Amino acid sequence: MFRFQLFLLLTLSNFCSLNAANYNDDILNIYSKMLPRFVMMSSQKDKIENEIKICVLHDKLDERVAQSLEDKIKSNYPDGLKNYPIKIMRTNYENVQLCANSQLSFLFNSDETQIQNAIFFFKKNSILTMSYNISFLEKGADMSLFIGRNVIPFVNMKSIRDKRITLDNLLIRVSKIYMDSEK
Amino acid sequence: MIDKILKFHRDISIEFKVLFGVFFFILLLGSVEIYQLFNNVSHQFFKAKKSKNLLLVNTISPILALNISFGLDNENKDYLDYIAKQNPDITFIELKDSANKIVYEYANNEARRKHEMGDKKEAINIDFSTKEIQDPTTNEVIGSLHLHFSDSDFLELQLVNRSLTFKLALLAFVFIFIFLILVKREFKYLRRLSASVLSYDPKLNNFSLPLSDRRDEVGVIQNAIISMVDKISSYTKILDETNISLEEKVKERTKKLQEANKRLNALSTTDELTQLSNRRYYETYFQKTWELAKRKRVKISLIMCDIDYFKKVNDSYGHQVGDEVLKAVSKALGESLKRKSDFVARYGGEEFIIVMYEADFQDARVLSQRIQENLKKGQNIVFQGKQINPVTMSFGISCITPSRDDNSEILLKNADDALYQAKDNGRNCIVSFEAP
Repeated sequence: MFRFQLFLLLTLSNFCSLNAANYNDDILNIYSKMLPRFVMMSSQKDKIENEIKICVLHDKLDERVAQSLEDKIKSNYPDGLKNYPIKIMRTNYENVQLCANSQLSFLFNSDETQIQNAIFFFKKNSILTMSYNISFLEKGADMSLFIGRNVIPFVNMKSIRDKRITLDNLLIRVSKIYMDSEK
Repeated sequence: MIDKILKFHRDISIEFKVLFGVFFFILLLGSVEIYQLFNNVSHQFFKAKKSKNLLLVNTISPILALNISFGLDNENKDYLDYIAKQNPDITFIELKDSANKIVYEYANNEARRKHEMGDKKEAINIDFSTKEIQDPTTNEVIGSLHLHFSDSDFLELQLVNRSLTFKLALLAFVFIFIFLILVKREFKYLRRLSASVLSYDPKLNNFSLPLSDRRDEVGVIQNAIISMVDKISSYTKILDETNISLEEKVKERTKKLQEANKRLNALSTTDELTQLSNRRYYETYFQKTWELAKRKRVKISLIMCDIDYFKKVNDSYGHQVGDEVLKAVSKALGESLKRKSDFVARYGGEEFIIVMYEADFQDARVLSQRIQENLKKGQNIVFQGKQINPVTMSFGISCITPSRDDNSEILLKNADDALYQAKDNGRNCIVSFEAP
């Protein structure tokens, strides 16, 4: 029953992409757990100097949701992960340059141009991207969550490979691989 | 059917019987070998199964760990359901979180049945009861996995192994048992054959076994022995017959020899012409009688007699008539003796001598007179158609009771002197020796 409700909610969120109220708290919680670990389970961990840097891009409209995500990350990893403190940088899509030092960026919904620009930027700087919206994979985002019978990571191997980023095998094993044919 | 088997058994040679025995023994060894092989296979199976299970556990643990770390609990449940479905030998799965709270549990029918029966014993150690689940990033323990694998396939393999081994071993034992019974029968037969040979007596011809219809070595040996026994029997019969014939011949020869000896003895003691005892035998007899009379202190008398004018008979009628005269005189002498102890012998030529034990002069005189009487009527000798005159005899008698110092020759000398005296007295008379 819970699964069905979750599925319904997520489906509705996809159709009403610009509505902040459509972000599911449970899904955000999953993302909050995943984000630092994706850094640690990819070659991005090599870029870590002192802290894990995660950039959260959002529209002004989703600032509160972005704050919520940051809170969840801090709540789940109060001491950081594997002795690395986690630094969350929240910013608007217009200030995407602020994410240049991050190892991973999380993309909330925005208009297509902003998203295209951001994805282009992250590709250029080899920064791993994870989007709330699964359709961003089509635009070149690296990862999202596949919400089917269960919720599992959805990985765009092509874009990751283009950025010369490698993922831990274990991560690949638990993930669903995004194929171009799914466009 | 059994008869046919036994006949077949009797017809096959010892080599094949030994080969059968060896084959059955190899079959037994083979069953042991198969048992060992299956044990090794079971061991390998167990190792492979353990490796596979270990691999499975080691494979799924990180995924479970990652899902836990991601908060994807539902994914873990689906994943473990999938694992349970793909691995039928998994009987029980239990996933606990870091707080030791069960977040997933699976049990198949076998596990439930065992749980209800309280059977927690495992045939083999393939139970990975507590596998810690570590965070793949931080290596922190974030839960535990309890996997329980079924040992039914292993037990089934063992059962098949034991069943096959048992069948083979049973088969081998049955065959070896039958083989031993048949071998024992062989030895029993050989013992009987041996006993018959040992108790065989050629004279009784008591070999009891008949000709064998077996075509194996035992039958060949038995028939060979029977053939040999027949030959021994026939040779023994011939030998017995020969022995009997020889014994009869020996008996016959012995009898002839005894008769010859008897004749020879008679010849050595008897005068051939007169059939009276000869002088040599007289001397032996007289000496014995003398010694007896000496010991018994009885009288012994000796009569020496001589045919009167015998030379004249020979000269007138020839020696043949003389011999006839001698025969007639001898006959008269022999017929005149009435006592068994009286003895007459031809002393030489026409002289005769009579020994009388326990007899005095009178007894000797009576005998001499009886001889004279018998001479008168006992001679019927014809020469050239005419009967010749009967001859007469002169008698010299001596008698003595011999003492220790007496010599037997004195009695003979006295009789001889008395005979001369009778000749001097005109012949045909009886003279007793009288000591001067």
